[in-house]
Amino acid sequence: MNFNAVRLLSFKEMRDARRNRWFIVVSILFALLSVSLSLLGLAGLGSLGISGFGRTAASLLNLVLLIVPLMGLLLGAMSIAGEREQGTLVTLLAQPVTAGEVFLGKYLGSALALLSTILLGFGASALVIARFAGTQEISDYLYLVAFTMLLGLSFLSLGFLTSVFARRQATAVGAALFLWFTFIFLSDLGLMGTAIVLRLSPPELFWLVMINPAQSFKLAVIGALQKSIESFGAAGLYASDVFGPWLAVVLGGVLCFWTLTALSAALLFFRRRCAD
Amino acid sequence: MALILILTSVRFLHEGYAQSLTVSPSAYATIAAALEKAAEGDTILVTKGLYAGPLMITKSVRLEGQGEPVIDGGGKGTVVTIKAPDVVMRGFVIRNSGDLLASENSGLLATGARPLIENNRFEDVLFGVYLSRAPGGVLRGNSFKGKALDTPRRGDLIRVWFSDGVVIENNRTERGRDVVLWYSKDMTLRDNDFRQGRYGIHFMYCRNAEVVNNRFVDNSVGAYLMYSEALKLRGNIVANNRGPSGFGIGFKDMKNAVIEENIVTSNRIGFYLDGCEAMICRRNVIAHNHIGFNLLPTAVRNKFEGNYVLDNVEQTLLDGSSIQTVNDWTGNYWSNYRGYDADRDGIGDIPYKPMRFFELLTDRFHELKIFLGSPSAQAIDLAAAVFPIFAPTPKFEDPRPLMRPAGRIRTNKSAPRPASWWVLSFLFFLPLAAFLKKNSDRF
Repeated sequence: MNFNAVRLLSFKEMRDARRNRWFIVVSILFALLSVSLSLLGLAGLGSLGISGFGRTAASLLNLVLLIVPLMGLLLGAMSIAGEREQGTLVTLLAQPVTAGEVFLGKYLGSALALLSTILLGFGASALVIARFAGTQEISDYLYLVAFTMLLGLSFLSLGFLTSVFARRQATAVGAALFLWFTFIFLSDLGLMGTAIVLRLSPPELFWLVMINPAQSFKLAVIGALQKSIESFGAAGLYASDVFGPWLAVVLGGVLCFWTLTALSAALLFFRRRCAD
Repeated sequence: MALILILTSVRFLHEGYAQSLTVSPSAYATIAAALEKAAEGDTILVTKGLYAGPLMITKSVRLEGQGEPVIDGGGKGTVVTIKAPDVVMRGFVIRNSGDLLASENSGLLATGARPLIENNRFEDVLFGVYLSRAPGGVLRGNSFKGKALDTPRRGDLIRVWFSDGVVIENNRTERGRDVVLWYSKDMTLRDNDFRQGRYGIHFMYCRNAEVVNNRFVDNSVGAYLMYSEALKLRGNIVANNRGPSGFGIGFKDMKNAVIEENIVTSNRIGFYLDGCEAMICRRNVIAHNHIGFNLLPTAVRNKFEGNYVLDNVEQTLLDGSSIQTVNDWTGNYWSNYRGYDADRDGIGDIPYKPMRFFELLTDRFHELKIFLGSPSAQAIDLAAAVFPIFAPTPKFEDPRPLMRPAGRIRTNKSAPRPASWWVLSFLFFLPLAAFLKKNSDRF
């Protein structure tokens, strides 16, 4: 493995991400929405004069749940399929680098671009919060940022997986959007129906819900903000009974699992498809 | 013994009928010895030192501690017992009672009328002050810290039993079971701070009490008011009560209570009403609880007005189906109200109707709560709003919702005003726009 090549390729990928209009639009949306949500959250809190638990972090949670997976999926989906459609992927692979190096460079570059976007959005909100509400609950906030990064990375890997299979960029984007819809809405709605029809027990329901990286992220962040996940009813109580303080680690583990599994699958198929 | 040496002299001050006796490094060996000599109405001054309990007061005397003398129960039974009327007990540290729940081991047990218990510190006691048939008792400025036992093994730090006209003010309890009042009427509880217990306060079969400006924080239940009539709760702060039932303020079979201007925040359930009638609940702040109001079908003819209902995960949970019309919800502020105010009179032009489809689902299938706060749950609510075929019947209706919180609710000066956040967003937007312009050739 030639790390210099990987580094160069990742810089190239970051430059590509900066030129990606989809990505830029979504990033700006994220930053603007997070800043205005922070301000609105503070306004609500201010009128009461008493503080809740990381209220702003709680309102940012929904924004993150919708937008960050979308950013990751789009960025991942376009990275390989885009170059393949333009024909530049062939040129790239003709250079004295291995397919694995190309793939890793592309992934690292996209990941850095994604993480810096997340940091930009959260950083801007953090400034606003620090200005109006002080920094007492900064650890809650950092926790949210860290888990958002994990969430972004797991969906970026999923995006790469769609990208490896698609011949054309539009196909990859379509597949990514479908994945987004599945993970954020369809799977939950399906599970709700299943839970009602089959009368799933709280442990069964918890394990099924936890598989979804988006839900894992939500459980971890709300659990940390409220210091317990009792609001999630019986299934939440089951989780805190079984895992106790290790719950956050387990949920973080789910996110890492998705990141690594999707990434290695993508790498495997990328190598195989590039061999021909 | 060192203890006896401290108490070797006595001073008599003759002042008409009432004497003043001093227990100090002079004559009276113990407080009990001074009590024996004292006549009705005498004052006994007790200087700094360690005195062994138990102490039995059978005369109407005033006991004044100077420099916080300590009465130690030695871990057995009740430390101080007052059997006479009109006893004053002021400025003592009373500690180390027994820990037998069944025999109600207390720091201080008063069975005479009108005891005045003021500025004492109770430490390591099972029950704190137990007023048993002690009408007109006054507890003022005492602090209580219970024994470090599991909650089921602790005692009540303040317990009032068949004692009318009791005044409890400026006390602070910590780590007890309940502050509980049984079968009494005409009471005042003011400026107390009750925390880390089971029930912050607990009324049983009481009538006509005023509970004003207290704090009930970090208990299992903030205030649980049962089988009582004509209570007034005003200006209390009820926060962070998150035990298994976790009520901020719970009412069971209550009548004619007035609950106003309380701040009820971050509890599991803000207000819980079971079998209540003709209660008036106005101008309270109910914020950041998991459930704001939880009403059982037995709660009827109650009035909720001018409350500030802010960001509770579930604003109202009404169990049972036919009850939306039996309580009056007119004129509250609801943070999830999505109406408008065209005529600018401060009152929303369309009624507030809580009908979140997802809440309806979780009310029926509790296990679905795990989906709370995810976009899918909001999608369900949106679907119900957009396609009326899904819309559940509203739980109740507030025909005149407030656009802005009313009454004494404070406004934080440092909160950003709308103008300033537009400016901020703009400032943030400018560099981005500049960046885009610079890079526009690359698109």
